[in-house]
Amino acid sequence: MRILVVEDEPDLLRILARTLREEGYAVDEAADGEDGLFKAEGVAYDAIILDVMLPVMDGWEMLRRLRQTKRTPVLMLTARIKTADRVRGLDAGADDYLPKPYDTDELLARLRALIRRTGSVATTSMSIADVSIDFAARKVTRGGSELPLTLREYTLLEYLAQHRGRLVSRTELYEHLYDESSDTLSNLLDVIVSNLRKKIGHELITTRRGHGYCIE
Amino acid sequence: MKPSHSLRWRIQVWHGLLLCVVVTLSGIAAYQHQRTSELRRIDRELRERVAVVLDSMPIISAWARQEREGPSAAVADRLPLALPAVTAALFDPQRNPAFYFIVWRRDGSESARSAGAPSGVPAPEHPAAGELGAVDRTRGVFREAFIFTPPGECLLAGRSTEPETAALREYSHGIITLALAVLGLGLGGGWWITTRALKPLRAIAATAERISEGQLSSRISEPEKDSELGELAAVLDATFAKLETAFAQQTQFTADAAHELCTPLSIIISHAQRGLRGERSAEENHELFDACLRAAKRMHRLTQSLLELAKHDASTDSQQQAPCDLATLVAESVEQMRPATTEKKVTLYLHLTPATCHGHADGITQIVLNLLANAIEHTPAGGSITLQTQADTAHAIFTIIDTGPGIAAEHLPHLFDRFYRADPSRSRSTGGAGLGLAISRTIAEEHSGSITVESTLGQGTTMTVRLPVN
Repeated sequence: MRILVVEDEPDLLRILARTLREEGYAVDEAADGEDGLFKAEGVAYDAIILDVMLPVMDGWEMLRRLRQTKRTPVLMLTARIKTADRVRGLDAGADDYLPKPYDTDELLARLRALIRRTGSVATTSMSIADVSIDFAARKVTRGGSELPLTLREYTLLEYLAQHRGRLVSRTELYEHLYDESSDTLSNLLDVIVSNLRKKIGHELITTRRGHGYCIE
Repeated sequence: MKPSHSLRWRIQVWHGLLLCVVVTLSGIAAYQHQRTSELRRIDRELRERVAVVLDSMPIISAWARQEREGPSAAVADRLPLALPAVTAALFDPQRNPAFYFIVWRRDGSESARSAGAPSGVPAPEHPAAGELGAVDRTRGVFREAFIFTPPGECLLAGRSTEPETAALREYSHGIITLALAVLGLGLGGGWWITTRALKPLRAIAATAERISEGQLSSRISEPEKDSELGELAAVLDATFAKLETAFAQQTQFTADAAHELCTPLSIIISHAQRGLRGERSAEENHELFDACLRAAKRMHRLTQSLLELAKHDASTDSQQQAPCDLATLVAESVEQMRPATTEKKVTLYLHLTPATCHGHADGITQIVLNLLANAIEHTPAGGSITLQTQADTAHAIFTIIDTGPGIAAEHLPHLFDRFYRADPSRSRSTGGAGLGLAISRTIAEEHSGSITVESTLGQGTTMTVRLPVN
């Protein structure tokens, strides 16, 4: 999952990005509304975390312009906690609204809910053959025992599972699983897929050579 | 509101009482006037009749003969009993009203009476010597006039006043009916007038109530502007508008303050939570604590500024003000800020001439420090800041000129607003909270002084502080 964080407080931006990366998200950062809009329009993010009080272009304006072309899920993050502000944010096209100071766990849970809501899979868990995935706890079990997946392996499996039955191209995977600063070697995906197959079974993920991967 | 406390009821009660008194008094006066004039008419008629009868009786000649022949009972007998027909007709008992007359001799015995004269009429007392004119008296329903002849006979004419009494009773009934009608009309009209006159008061009360319920934008909007209450409504409307603005400003200020505090709080909370979410390397822990500390210091600065502002907002005393030299205060402030200017490679030019003003030295120093810090912040490396002090007849003037990027004209009116930042691209973490200029203006106004700003984009900004000498 790839997330864009737009926040003008350097400390806050840094800590948000780090926390999200630790949770396995690919995170892009923007420090003002203009940069945020440029990135949001260019990349298919799974969600955007957007501060309201931003330099150059404020969050509302950025959201309004973004909504003319894209409907990426947006979580507004702001210290403006008046009902009128919240209503304005939601009416401007935000999908959720979290007042500052926020609780990190709540932010992560809302982000998961937001992605779940707008994604093709609405459940919080899924079973494929003898493998079951708990999206909330980010745990994968096979035959009742937990599998020790790395973050990259898990996010890849999660993305494919959430788009189950659909062919997911390598480009799409790169776009959603790696952020702008990642060093994306072309065979990195193949390595991760092969490691993942060793853990969850070879037949689960099928490869369409030249096209991408798919979980049937 | 109890009816007895209602202004309308009180006005109505007083109005009613006043109306009652006026109507009663004028009723009584009208009745008395009518009664007196009736009585006067009757008396006139009676006296006329007394005079006519007196003329018809040769009492004078009889009295002269009596004087001449000595007292004799025959004197009275010779009094003529027969009146001329015209005179007798005046005492016809069939006429309405019926007049009568009675004549007494000197010894008090009746010598003559008309046909309709009632029985048992007491002979009048002889009036005191010297009074020879006719005298009136009321006896029961009768009104009588009598006169004593010089020898001592008494002639009395009278009539019943019953027809007049009946007419007067009817007249009084008329007056009472009229009075009640006037009273009713007056009370009704008064009620209508007070209702109309007090209508703006009701509108005012209703508006005040709405405002106290929280509808601050509510106004009286009394269409009638000329009356006293209309004026009051207009004044109140203006006051309400001012209050609403002040309230909105206060709300905005609180929201802004909360917003400014929320951001560093978010930083502290998220960093602390991250620190608690698992083992970290010493290096990362250091980084987390460092971010928390930065945020906490920022909150500290902000709360200090807020307290400063609240202190100046609340203070109204001018007792601790003393004469102080602006030039000295500026020189001290410059020394305090010297490290910052050296660090930023900004040149300072000082043109300080002594300028005495009256005020708090600490407050004025605060203004100078705020403006100087502001100028240093906005002046690029290699730029310069010029500080001047001078005095004119009424003011001590402090001017600070920087060679920063300048401020766009659209921002100038808001520059001294609390939390206002002219440059939106400047992050809050590097800039102040946007309170420095607001605090400076508050202090200057506290000293009955002013701060003005002139700026040209690309050339720099000039801020001028004027403080009164006295």
